[in-house]
Amino acid sequence: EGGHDKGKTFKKFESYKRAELIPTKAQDLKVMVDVRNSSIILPIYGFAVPFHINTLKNVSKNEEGEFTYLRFNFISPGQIAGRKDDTPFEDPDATFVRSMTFRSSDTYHFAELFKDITELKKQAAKREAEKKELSD
Amino acid sequence: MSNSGVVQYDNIFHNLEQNAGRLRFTKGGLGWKPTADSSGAAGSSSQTHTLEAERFRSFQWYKAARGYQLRINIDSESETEPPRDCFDGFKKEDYERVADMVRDLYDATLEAVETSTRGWNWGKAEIEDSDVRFYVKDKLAFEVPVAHIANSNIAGKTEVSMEFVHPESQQPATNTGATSGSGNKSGKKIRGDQLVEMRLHVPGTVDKSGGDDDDA
Repeated sequence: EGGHDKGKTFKKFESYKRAELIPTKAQDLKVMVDVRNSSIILPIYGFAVPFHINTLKNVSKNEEGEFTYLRFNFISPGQIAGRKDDTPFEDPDATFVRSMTFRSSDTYHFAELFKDITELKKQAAKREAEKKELSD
Repeated sequence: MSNSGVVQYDNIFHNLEQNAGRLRFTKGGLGWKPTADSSGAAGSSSQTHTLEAERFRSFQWYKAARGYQLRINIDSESETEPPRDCFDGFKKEDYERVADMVRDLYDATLEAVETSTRGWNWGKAEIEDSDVRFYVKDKLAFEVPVAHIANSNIAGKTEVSMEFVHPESQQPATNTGATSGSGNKSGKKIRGDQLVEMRLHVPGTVDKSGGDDDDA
C-alpha cells in the first residue's frame, strides 16, 4: 500500500486552537488528562505541553523506590505497530518525540493517570476503528 | 503609570520555584521577593532575587503552565548562569501593562511569542541559546535547558536520549525531608511531576539507501 494521495493519508488533529484554551489546572505543573480535548498535558520546564491522544502509542508505569514512573511512548517512525496513516511519515526530515518519562512521589496520582490515559487511548482507538468501518 | 516609578506585580513565580512572590521593577532593575511562607516549612527554597537593568537584553511574553510568562533575556555572566530570567503567573490581561512598563522604564518592546498547542509529537528540534527547542510548524512547543541534561546518548542511528537532572536533588537543603516525605510535611507546597528522560527520533544522518527494514 503506497498511498498515492499523500495529502489524504494524514488526518489533521489538533489539541487546542489557542494556548488560553489549555485548562488552568495545568498550573499545578503535573501531568494531566483532558478527555474533552483528547489530549494529555505534560509539564515541561514551566510549559504545559499538550499531546493529542493520537500521537500516543502507549503508556507504561513502574515503581522504583519512592517514585512512580510513567513513560509515554509516542508513535514514531520505525515502529511496526505504528498507525502509519495518522502521522506524516511522508516528511523525512521531521524529528519525533519518541518517549518521555516522568516521575512522581505521588503513587495514587500516577496510578489514576495511568488508568485514565489507557482508557482514553482505548476509546480513541475504538472510535477510529468505527470510523474506518463506516467508510469502507 | 505610577508616578513613583515602581511597578509591582503580585503572585509571580521566579523561574521554576514553587513559591509565588512579589515582583517589582524600577528604572534600575528588578527585585523579586517570595511571599512569606505560612506553612513554616524549614528553609524556604526561594530567595530574594535582584537583577540590574543594564543586563536586560530583551523582553518576551509566553503562555506558560502557570499563566503567562515574562521572559527577560540577559547576558549571562558565567557558563552556568541561565541566559534569562523568567517570571510566571501573569494574567493574559497583564500584557498591556507589562508592555507599557517595558517601554517606559527600559525603552524596549515586549515581544509576544506564540507557542504551539497543536498536540503533535513531530516537528523540528533546534539547539538555540542554551536550550534544546522543539518546534511544531515553526512554533515553539517546549524547550529543555541544556544545562539540565545530565546525560545524553545516541542510541541507535536515529535515536537521541536525554536524561535530566533535578536542581532539587542537588541542593542539600531541599534534598532532605522535603523531597522524600512530601506527603505530610507541608501540604501547601505542591511539587510538580518531574521529567526525567526524553527520547527523540532524529532522522538526519542516516540516508535511505535501500529500505533496509523491509521485513514487515
